[in-house]
Amino acid sequence: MNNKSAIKNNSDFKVMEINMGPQHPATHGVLRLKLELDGETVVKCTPIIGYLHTGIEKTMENKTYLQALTCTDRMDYLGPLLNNLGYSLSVEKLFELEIPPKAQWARVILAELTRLNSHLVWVGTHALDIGAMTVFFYTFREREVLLKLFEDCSGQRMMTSYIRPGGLYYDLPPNFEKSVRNILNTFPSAIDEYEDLLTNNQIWINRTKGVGVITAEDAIAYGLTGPSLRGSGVNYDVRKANPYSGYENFHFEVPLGSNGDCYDRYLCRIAEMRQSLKIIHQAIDGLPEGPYRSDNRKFVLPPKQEALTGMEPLIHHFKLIAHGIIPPTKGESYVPIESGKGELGFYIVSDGTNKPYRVKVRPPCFVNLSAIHKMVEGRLVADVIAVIGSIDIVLGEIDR
Amino acid sequence: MAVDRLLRDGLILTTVDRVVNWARKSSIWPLGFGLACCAIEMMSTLASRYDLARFGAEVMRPSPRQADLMIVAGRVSINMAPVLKRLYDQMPNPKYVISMGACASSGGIFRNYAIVQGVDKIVPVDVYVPGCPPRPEQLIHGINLLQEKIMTHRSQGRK
Amino acid sequence: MTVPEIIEKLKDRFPDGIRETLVFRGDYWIRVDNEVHYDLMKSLKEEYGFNFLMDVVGVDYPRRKERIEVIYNLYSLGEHLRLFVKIRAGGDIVPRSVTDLWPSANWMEREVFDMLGVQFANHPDLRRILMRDDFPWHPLRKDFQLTSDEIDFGVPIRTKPPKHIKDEPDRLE
Repeated sequence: MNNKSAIKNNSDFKVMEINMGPQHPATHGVLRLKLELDGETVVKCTPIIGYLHTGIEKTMENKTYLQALTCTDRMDYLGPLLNNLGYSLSVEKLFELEIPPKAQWARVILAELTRLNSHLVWVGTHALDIGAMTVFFYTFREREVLLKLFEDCSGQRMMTSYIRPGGLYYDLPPNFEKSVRNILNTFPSAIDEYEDLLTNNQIWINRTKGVGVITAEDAIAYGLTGPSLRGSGVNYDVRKANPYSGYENFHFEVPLGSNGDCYDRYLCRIAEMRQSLKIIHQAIDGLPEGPYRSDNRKFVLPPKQEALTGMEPLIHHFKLIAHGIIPPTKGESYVPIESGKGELGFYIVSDGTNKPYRVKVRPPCFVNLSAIHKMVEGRLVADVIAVIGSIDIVLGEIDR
Repeated sequence: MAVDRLLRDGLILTTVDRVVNWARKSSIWPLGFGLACCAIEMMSTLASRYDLARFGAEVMRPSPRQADLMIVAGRVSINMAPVLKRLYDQMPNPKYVISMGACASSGGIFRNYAIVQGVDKIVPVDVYVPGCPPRPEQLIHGINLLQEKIMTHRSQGRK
Repeated sequence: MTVPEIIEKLKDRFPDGIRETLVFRGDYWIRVDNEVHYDLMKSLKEEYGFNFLMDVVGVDYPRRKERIEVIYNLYSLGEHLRLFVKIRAGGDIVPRSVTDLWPSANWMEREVFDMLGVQFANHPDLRRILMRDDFPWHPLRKDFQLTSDEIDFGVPIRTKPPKHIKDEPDRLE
């Protein structure tokens, strides 16, 4: 900031304004930045967002609770199952729904696999932006394995809508355990491979170390969450602080950085991938038997066979399909979860009808992006690319 | 005949249109233009498993002035519509548009105030690829269809 | 210190300011008056350690005189506590921005302004954030319709004014 006032005082210098985006290969979507440059140094950086504003919150108000779930997939499209989970937990809190243990365990596995998926795309594209193209091909190779598993579960590669209020959409596929164990066996060496390519790579270190520094105080003041916050050394992980969906049963560590620069955020995410594998390992070992969704017939569809033979299940089926699920009371609920990017939460206001009165998303990327000027001002324009990559933004979630 | 002998020696008879079309379709340069979810599947199409390079369309150009195919990958908001139109106008002729995914083709599940209900309201679309998001195979199929379309191009007379 | 204790202390400190306390499914809400809102937020941050502003939510209740309810989602990193502070805005009531307490409020309040049309006093940069600057409506208000007429290219703004829902019964009150 001192830099800027110095320039304004001296009439010899001129600040050049350049526009970056919304169509730019390194802005991860349609982010637009207005940069004021003094030579190569960024004096001021103003993000302009809204180029992907989809009206998701308004759309969700006009859909029933289950229909609204499909919209959540399309927000953070790198972690659709995490979004499903966040929304389902909020709805379940509102409805006071109990979830059987198998569904909870399966949710943890799927959520951690989705976190891996999100981090894989992040490390690939982040490296691609800075100039290391190989990593991109490696991470997308592993990502296909994950997508295959999601497809086995739900029939869709990305927009799964698999985790639903009440449990899961359908039982886990028969080869689920085998596929997960296969992932557990192959992923550690794959992560080693990325680390071989990047962690001690001098170019990578030069491009990321000491770049985009944000102090712990600033990170808290600006509301950063997720790896962007933990890269600055603040120990806040929703899975530890407010455990949900049975995370209190698993042993894992929260990787922390110390400098708050791009390199520390990178190390945090890589370490987080290893911790995710650790959680999946425990969860698949202890995956309980039992039903995959709640048997509360007021909120969860009865099995087809029951609906075909019994009167009462038929009525429930009819009511659920025709009206959707109806919350027992008016009220507001919020459950935070740790998505790949930070604290994600759905604030749902219910008026006691079959449609939510208001759904507000707490988007981690939106808040993380709002601190970007703290990280880039005073740095070189090339560092902006590294910073955008390192805070891992998804525009679908920022603009909603 | 003399022509017979020339043909035996490696001469090929063809039309200028065919050669030009063949060259065009074999190296489509798409504009690297990701909007939303479909952009991730577009990246998958380019990456290791699906490898769009097999069809000569892997060179994503960051600048519209070097591109001849625009893959509209994702929903187009009303804020983005003027930008998209400008990018299309900046592309040199001949230019093609693939509308990838349900949102770009028709608005998809987002029938609301913020989303343009189909990108064909703004730019002419050559191939629609359905799906939400389409699988990489579907996008490759769409590009193949576009290649067939390019082969039918005639420089004079009937198009 | 637990959240109920904090609420009791706040009640002692601002006896007339806190209109309502609500407990629902284990979460705590307090509804405060505009007069004490800023001071209360300041004391929450500085005395009770709510150093994290997670989110600012706006909800539209078109039947009320102060139609927009703004909900601040506060979190304390030290004690892992969460408290929701509600304030009713709209009409004559313009809440004071808390951007100087939590810089993260900047974008969040801008979003509430953009989507619901709440003005915040003392906000450093109250502009639209998601919609374009010349968009004439606030989309998340209840009297704004979800769908629209087809948008023509060139003027990608709809021209039909939103239909008012005065005739419909209010779902809440």
